[in-house]
Amino acid sequence: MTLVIKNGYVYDPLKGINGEQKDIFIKEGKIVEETSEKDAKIIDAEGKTVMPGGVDLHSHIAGSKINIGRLLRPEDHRKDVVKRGKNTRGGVGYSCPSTFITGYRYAEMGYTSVMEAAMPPIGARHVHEELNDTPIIDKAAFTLFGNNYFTLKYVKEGDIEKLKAFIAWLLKATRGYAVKIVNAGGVENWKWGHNVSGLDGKVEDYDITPRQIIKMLAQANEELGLPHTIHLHCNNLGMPGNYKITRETMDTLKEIKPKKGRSATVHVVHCQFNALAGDNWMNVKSGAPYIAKYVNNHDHVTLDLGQVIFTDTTTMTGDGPWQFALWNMTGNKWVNSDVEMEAGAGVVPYTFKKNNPANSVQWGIGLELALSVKDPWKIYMTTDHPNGGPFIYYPQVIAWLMSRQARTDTMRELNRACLKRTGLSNLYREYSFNDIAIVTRAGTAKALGLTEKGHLGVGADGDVAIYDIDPTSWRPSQYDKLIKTFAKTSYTIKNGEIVVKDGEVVSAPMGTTHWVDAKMPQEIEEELMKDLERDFKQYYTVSLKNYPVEDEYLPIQKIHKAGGGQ
Amino acid sequence: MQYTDIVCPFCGCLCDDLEVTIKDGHIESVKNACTISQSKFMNHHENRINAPSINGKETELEKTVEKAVEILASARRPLIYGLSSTECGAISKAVEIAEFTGGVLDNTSSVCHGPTILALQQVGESKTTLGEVKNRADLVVFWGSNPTEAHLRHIVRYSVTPKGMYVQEGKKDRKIFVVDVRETRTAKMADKFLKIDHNKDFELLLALRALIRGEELKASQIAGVPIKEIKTLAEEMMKAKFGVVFFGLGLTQSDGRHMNIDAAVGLVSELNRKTKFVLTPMRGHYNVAGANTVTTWQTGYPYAVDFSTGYPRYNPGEFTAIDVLNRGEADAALIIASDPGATFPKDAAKHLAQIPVITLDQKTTPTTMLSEVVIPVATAGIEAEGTAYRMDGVPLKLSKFIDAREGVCSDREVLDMIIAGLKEAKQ
Amino acid sequence: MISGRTAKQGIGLEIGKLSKSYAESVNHVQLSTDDVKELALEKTHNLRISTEHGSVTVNWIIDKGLSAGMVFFPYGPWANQVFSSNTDSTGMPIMKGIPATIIPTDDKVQELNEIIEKIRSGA
Repeated sequence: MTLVIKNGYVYDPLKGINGEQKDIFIKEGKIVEETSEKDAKIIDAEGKTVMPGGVDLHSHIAGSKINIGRLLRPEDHRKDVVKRGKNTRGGVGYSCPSTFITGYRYAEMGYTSVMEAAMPPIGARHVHEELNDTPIIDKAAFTLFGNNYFTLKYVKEGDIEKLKAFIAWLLKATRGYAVKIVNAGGVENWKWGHNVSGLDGKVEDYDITPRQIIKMLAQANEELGLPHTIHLHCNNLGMPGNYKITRETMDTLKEIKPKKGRSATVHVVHCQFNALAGDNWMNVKSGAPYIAKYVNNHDHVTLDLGQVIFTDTTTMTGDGPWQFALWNMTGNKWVNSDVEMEAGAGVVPYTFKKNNPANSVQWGIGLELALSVKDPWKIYMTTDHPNGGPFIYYPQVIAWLMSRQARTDTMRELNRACLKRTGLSNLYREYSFNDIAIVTRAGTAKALGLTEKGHLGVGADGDVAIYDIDPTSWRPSQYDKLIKTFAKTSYTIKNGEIVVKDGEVVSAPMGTTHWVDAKMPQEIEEELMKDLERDFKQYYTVSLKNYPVEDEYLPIQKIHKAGGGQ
Repeated sequence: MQYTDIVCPFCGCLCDDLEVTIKDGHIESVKNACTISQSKFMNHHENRINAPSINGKETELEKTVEKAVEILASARRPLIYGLSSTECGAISKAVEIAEFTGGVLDNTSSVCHGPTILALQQVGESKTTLGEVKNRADLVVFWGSNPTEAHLRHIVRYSVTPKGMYVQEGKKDRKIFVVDVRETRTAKMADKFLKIDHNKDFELLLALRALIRGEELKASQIAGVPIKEIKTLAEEMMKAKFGVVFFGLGLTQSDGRHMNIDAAVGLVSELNRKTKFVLTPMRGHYNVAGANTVTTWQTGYPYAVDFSTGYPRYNPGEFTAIDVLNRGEADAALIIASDPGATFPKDAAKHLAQIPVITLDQKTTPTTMLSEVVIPVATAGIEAEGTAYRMDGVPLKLSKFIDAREGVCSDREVLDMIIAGLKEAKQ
Repeated sequence: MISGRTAKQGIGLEIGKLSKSYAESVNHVQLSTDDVKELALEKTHNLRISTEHGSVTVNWIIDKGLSAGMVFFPYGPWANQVFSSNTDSTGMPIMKGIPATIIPTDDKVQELNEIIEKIRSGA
């Protein structure tokens, strides 16, 4: 059955459509050329804003880390209980939502694709089980590589071919979509209770540096032709003064030759936490101008914000030593979770407070970054859910981006450090609807290499969000309307099916899990398998045979080919 | 026919290196299995429940499902319990049934490591997957835990003898301490055994933590342990490159309960300021971790979940199975993969005899003997596939390599039938 | 009194809870040689173990690892006759470190189905 969305103001930046009144036609789950409206279901989008479904490229929604967060925080759940409905399961929300609620709430905001940002390989099965219980949205998970024994081994040996083979193998074994790196080398040192300092610090047992790890993974990533660049959580996260290492990290990757068809070689995640200037948490100030300047002058970097929301949230990253440091700073409860041979994680509740000078600076940094990076195709909107804040606050972030008054009104409630130690108050730029469409869907889909997402051109997946706002009559002073509008769509359409109507979930089909199957030359694969067989037996506690995720865990999957098999 | 790398469905070790030989549809032998696992595999077909039954009278599966639906649909406060000895798909269905009927959902962690979870929710936990122990641990403490009786291959696969990346001589490169109220076989294999008085673990854990902090202790003994031995343990802990505390029911089931674990977590967190230290609860049943994990991602809470208001509510001590039964509050029960009739104290168990109970199990147990509806089900990990979560959270796929007897379905399939029946009944 | 799991209990329950192996693995307590001496416990005697919450007759064996004044009661239907079901609002009853009294007895050790009957009758 054809679905026709009529007369909406369409924002489709990848196709150059900027608020034009246009009809959208969807048939058999895909966007099609204009066709007959006979027997079609018509949605009247007159006076409304139509965008492709949102694509969130960095969120913690499935797997052992977020589940530890859920387990750790019954008090968070009680704030936000969700009754079961006619078509929907019950659950809990806020910073560590249960899986059903995660899917519903993203869909209610008009998002139709969400990327789980960090998947420990031995726990991949767990990630996929949770994704299977996350309704409506399409999803993918990024496999952790930066502290993996085999990565470190091949980096030490300088063996780029084996590293590529390993990446291809592990992405397949974990059904992962991209190469994720968290505090390269630092999490390996944390296995002895240490961290790594600086890009050229020592990864103790391997005598290599974070710089080497990051560079080699980036090179391998581009040579393999993976759809997304490396997805990088920089070293020294959360340490005032770290903007320097962030900039240096970006700079070290400018020599990497990008895959054909793109200029980026790295995506830096939740950059706010890595854009800190000053020396310590007492005098921390904004490093955003330096980062923005670098990004404005170079085309090989994309970033996402990691915007702070003033609320009680739950921090969770694969950066074990950082989470330990946060525990020591706050005295709050702390879970550390090391993963053999591969990765680590830590979870610590945290409250961002308006009267806390450091937090007010952090809040300012995220927005300062967003407003100082000139090209919206390079910078995307996230809160690093739930680290900076729960994803249900995305509409609030949209309001801050689109309305200077929204920012000013918030700043009035904050400790004056934001005013004094960031450049935010001097920034008058306001994001347009088109900009928002870029930073929440078109740009992210493009960065991810998801060619059928983030746009409404013919052949795209029929994922559409219709927001009840007239962009021609809206003014930035009306930012409250933005918060309301982007929280609940008039319609969310997924694969041509109406899943949300007037902010309520009316249907909850299962989405698709995307993963990347990269091909490598057979001889290298055979060499790799010898290493895997030997080292799994010696060092792992699960057998190699039981390690790769079986097909049964991906009931609906889409395989993206890369490398030789393209 | 030989199957290798089979995952054993008995205890939280979830060993995945078993080799099973099948001949004519029967298990002929199992290699690499501990004696309990041997018993499970070699006896899995013995003493199986003959047929589904209602009030002891054999009948068809459909009739028992109908009766189960009738009981659950008309119950005002059904208790759904068990779940630690089945696979995650079945657990997921149990959550759905509890939500649909507005009942109480609990699993066996409430009488096992529930207190560990309570402590985690208070102060957290510093943990790791078992491979890090194998590769790095040079100091291992078993506290209130007796793996030689309950986790038979733990010592050879993970914690004591294995040669690891940085522990190349295996046991020779490790120091093993045991803290227990009696000298168990585990204690006998240790380098040092500290005999502790009953119900005094909390004091000893705090004393150690104080020593780690550099406090001076003015006592000649604490918890029945001479101060010299306590100081030695503290020193060894700080000297270790990578220490681990494995703890069991000695901590969770004695007086302090979750406060004992709180103290253990506090000690390990403190040690992290000096060196690398982790702790791991010795989970009992092979998928009790899975029961917690699935319940948590679907409801937000790990056990003791009440759905009577339409959304999940969590209150251990109120919605835990023993307490619900103590108060005589449940008016029906659905028991899956567990035997509360044998494992609950008598005053709780006796309420099960007062209400209609539906039980899904492979063999006759005190619980099935007290049940109105008994449905025989396939053995997960032998006759049915699914996922199980190891004591450290690592998920593994359970295999099916034998067909269940004709007409015997898996837990998941039966629960699915019950859900379908409940949904139909509602209309 | 402490309770706990044993390998024999694990082996027995996997055969089946109605099996002789299972019953034998859980219908006894383990005690020290000192206590056996003090009680003048004969091989022909059974043991009556009582706590505040109940009492039950069981078989007995010696465990050399136990010191005087401590008994180990494997976890199962017999042990559950003497535990309290009060959880102090934690969900978990106390199953270790419980004060108990033991005396030699000529009473019979109950069979499993007798225990079930007792549960059924609400006694």
